[in-house]
Amino acid sequence: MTDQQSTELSVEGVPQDAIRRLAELRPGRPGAIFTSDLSVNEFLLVREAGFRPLGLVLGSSIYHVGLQIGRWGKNQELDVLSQAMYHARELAMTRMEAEADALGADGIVGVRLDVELKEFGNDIAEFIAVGTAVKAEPGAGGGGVAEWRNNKKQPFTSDLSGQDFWTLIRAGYAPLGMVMGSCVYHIAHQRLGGKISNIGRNVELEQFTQALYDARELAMSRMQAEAEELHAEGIVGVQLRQHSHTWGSHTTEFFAIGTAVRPLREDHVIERPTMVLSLDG
Amino acid sequence: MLAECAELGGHGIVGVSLSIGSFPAGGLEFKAIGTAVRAPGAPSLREPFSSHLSGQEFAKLIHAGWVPAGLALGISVGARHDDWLTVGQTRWGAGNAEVVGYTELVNDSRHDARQQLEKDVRRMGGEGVVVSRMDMRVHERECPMQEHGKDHIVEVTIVGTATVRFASVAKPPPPLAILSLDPQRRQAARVRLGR
Repeated sequence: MTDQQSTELSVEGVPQDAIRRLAELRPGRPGAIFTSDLSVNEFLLVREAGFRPLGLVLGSSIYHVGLQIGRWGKNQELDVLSQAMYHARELAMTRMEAEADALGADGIVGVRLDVELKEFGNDIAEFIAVGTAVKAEPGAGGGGVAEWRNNKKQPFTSDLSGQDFWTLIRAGYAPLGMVMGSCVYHIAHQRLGGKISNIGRNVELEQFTQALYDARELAMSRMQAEAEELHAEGIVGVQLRQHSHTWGSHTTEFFAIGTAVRPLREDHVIERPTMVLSLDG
Repeated sequence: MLAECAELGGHGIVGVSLSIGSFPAGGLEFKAIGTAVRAPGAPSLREPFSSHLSGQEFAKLIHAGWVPAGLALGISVGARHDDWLTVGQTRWGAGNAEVVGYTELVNDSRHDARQQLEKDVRRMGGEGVVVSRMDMRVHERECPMQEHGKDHIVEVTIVGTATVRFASVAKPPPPLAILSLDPQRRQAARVRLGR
């Protein structure tokens, strides 16, 4: 805060006004209370983008992720597990969207989709989706945007942070929804002969490389298919994650997640950001 | 902590951290630490406000016309006996499916904690709450009523800062988008995005 700004604040009596307001607080205000788990920066930027936070929304599912045995010497997708991981996440997201729908929200920002092992037992994980439901004010996105919900009549979801969300809206794009693709892959074990012939040699393990390529490709193409269903122009903020969960080293889940977007206007020009070079440390 | 602040003549406390730990002589110790602040020239408050926000976040919020009203807590504990349906869904060979009993337990407990949080905010006269922490702990215990039976207990704690608008401030300056040219900052940002 510059000296000039702090003098302005005290001239306007801002801190004193704040304290006076607190002194007038009475319990039991009528009207709705908003909740949000955005940081202060994100909260202010989301408001700046023209959206008002309505409430914290969450959906969760406790899921039993069991075994599926793959053929020992073969690279293959474990489709039962793929389906299970996808279904569990879908349950969590759908419940979160239902809460936002009940609040009359246009969308949900800052969504965190996590898998956590809790002390419910082995192979039982909690799939949880948490975000902040928001409603668009009339001037949001440059004004004149009729409908913020996506083509499935659901509030849009986005795992973009408040800062990224603000930048996206300023650039003339709107989020449609989070899209994801999951693939659980079993990587073939090396045969004994193969292991012996590789002793003492630096060599690429081709079947491992091929398996990882295939698995990633499957996960990403499923994510793209979801985006096409929403008639999106593209997907931003894509993360490609890899987990073994509780299955051991030859079974891995590849999970691709991103936010599908559509354009709000023809041009996407944003003002150039100011380049800064810090002078400390 | 609020009493100490009032003695110092402060209007409120920022940067509060709440910790709960076991005390060597037995029992639990609840510790709250923060920094007391004062607005010079303003009348004193009956009850000072408290907030988990750091100094920078507090300044930014005041700039934008919001003031923290107090620390809000929502705590809920739920318990559920593992009935035969639940046990069947969690067995080793049970297949991939949602465990309905646990899902209900977790969702109900969290819902109740959120309602407690809202009640706390209303009690303070706040308009909104910015959540800083949402924790959930799960315990298992032997069922006192049924031999070989198990119960699951879920504890949900939500901590946040209640906020309220005050009118006098003009529209704050729009955010300035910057691109840092520091190699360390950009490397750190890339790592954070990769989570």
